[in-house]
Amino acid sequence: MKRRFFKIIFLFSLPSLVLFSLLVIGPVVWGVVVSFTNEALVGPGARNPRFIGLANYLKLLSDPLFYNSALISFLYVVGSAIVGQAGLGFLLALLTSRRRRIYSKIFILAMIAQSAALISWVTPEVAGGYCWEVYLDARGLFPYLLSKLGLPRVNFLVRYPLLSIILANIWWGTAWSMLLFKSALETIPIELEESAMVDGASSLDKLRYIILPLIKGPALVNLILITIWTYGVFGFPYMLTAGGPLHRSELMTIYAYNTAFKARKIGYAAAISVMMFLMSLALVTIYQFIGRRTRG
Amino acid sequence: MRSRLLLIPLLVLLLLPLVPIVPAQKVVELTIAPPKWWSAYRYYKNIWIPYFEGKMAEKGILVRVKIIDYPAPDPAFIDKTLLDLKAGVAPDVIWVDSFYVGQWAEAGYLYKLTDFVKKWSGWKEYYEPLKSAVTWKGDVYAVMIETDIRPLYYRKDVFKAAGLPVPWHPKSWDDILHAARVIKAESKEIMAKLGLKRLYPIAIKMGKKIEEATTMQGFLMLLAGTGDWIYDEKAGKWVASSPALLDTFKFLEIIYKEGLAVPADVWFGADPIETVHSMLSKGEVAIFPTWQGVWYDMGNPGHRWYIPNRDEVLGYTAMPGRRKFLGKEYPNDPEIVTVSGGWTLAISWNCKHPDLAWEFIKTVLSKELAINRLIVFPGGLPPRKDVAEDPIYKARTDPYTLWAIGLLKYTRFRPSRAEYPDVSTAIQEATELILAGKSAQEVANWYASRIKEIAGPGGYIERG
Repeated sequence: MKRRFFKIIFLFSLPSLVLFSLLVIGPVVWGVVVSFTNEALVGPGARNPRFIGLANYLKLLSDPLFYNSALISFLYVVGSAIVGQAGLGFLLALLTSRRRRIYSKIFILAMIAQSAALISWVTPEVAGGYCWEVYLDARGLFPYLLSKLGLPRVNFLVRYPLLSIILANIWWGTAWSMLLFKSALETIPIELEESAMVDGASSLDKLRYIILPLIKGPALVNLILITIWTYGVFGFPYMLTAGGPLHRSELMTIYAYNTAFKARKIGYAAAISVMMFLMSLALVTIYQFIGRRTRG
Repeated sequence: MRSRLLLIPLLVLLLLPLVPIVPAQKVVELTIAPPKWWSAYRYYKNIWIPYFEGKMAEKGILVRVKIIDYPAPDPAFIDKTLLDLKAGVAPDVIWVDSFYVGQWAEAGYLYKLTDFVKKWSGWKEYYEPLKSAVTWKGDVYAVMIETDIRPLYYRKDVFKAAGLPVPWHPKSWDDILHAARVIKAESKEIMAKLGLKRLYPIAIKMGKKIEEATTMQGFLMLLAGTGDWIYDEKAGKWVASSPALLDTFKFLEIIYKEGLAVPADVWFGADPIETVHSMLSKGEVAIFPTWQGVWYDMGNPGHRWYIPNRDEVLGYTAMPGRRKFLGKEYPNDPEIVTVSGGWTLAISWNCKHPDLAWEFIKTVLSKELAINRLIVFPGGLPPRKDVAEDPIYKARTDPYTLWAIGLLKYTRFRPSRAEYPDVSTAIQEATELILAGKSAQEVANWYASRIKEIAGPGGYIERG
């Protein structure tokens, strides 16, 4: 009976297993295999790639551009995802939570902020990228407004490329964190906060001793997800700076793309992608570890 | 039994009309992938294909030429061609930018045409530099469709307002710098006089964003003026360092240190090519070496860079060699320089009918069709002497194009070497370092180290 039951489960999950293997596991395994070859679009071995062992990985260890892209990616994730999206998302969630007193005071502002975050979230990547490009370009609105304040009219994408792509990504992805935190805040029993108030707790005390400990779980899920997503972001920053100028905003995704399709070195680009995956995995593991320790 | 015996011939008679007396001739399919966004695409589709199919039919060969639509513009088109070549599914006849011929031949993607061209009378009509541009390690891998040159454009109205001579024929790099310095010194008066919001004396293409344009239309236009080159053909090695390379970086350093050039931000910003050409069309850039087609664009009422009084305000001249730079004379430098490129036709390695594909190339690049195409779609320069010298072609061609053909004898091509695209990227990165404020010497040192990496041990030389 039990065996039959498992058989049915297996049969029902077979189509999704096949699709998952073909479309997800297959390419990932292939990517790892390619990273151990000299696969390239050009060059003498282009038509007959061969296994080269760890050569691509050893080359990565002495590649300054790889370290540069790893640092840029790290700063990008910390700046735009952890501090920007999660921080701003949490703030917006607090301000727009109907159960809080502050909500009634800044009702209109909170609604505008919430709507703006949601609109930016649903904006397609390419449309958003184009909007930010024309906004920050030397002839764009932002430098124009600065010039009206007597400041020099500079091209932000050129002068501050990393800051530009961080700001653009915060704009793009804050709504996700806001919605997640908002739903987490709704789960906190109102009685807890009320009794704390009766006991004389300040707003900061409530935040520190009630709200933050109770939303730790969703916050961790949010951090894990946005870290993975942000590490993998490509289109938006590529549209804005394409990694330049002078590699100053070259994320690992952009470096892998440029290596594969500009330098035409597929095997080396695959090695960069594998390293990117491992780094993302390491960060997620750290989150899990911190989560378990704090729960413990 | 008898009735059955009768039935057999009856059945045979009935089935007879279904069996063709002469077996149907097989139609051979030839696939091609012309760039769809080119104006000449219509010509390829409406003239080349029917003409070739007709010619083959006359020979009793039924051919159907099928167009495979590839994405636009150039970078996506090249990527798609390359990926299809790698996968072994590329069309039979492919369009290859000449500077990729060496690299793609090395990868084994292109079918060797040496035996074909040896038997083709048209091959001897091609200009020698154009032949070498499609030759790799002694073998021919492609045939040029058409070529081009790069002139030095200048704004006559700005020059007149600055008190500089018009027409302008600079004889050295110092002449160019002198004109740029005069324009800078007089810029306030010139802007007031011509009603300009901004004015930059010179623009030289820089940076990685515009890719090959920086190498070919900016850096190499200067380097060619020294008589030296990025690759030493005699030694068969890349030039990692030389006084000529240093001088080229110095020229770029000077125009940025002295504030003569368009701001560095332009080359990193959105669509630099559009920005700077638009500035030239408005008179906001006074001197600008760029591609030959700009003259036609600025004279075309339907084009965004249209200048109604183009002939009055826009001038063109030949780019001079270095000859005199920072006060020092270089009498052996070339007087005039230009750099050429052009797209070619090649046969992919996976082509199942290389003989037929060659017939296609030979037919569509014949003298008759080349003259016809260049008259119907003017702009490119003929790669064949017999076309350039043809009286009908000359009579139907505008003076600017004829002047441009005259520069072909001075032209230089990028080395047809597998490493060239990587060297080109190094050049683009080197110009970005100049834009970032590094000195010419620092950039030259960086470039030398990069070339050594690309060329590998024994693949480069260092001069001086």
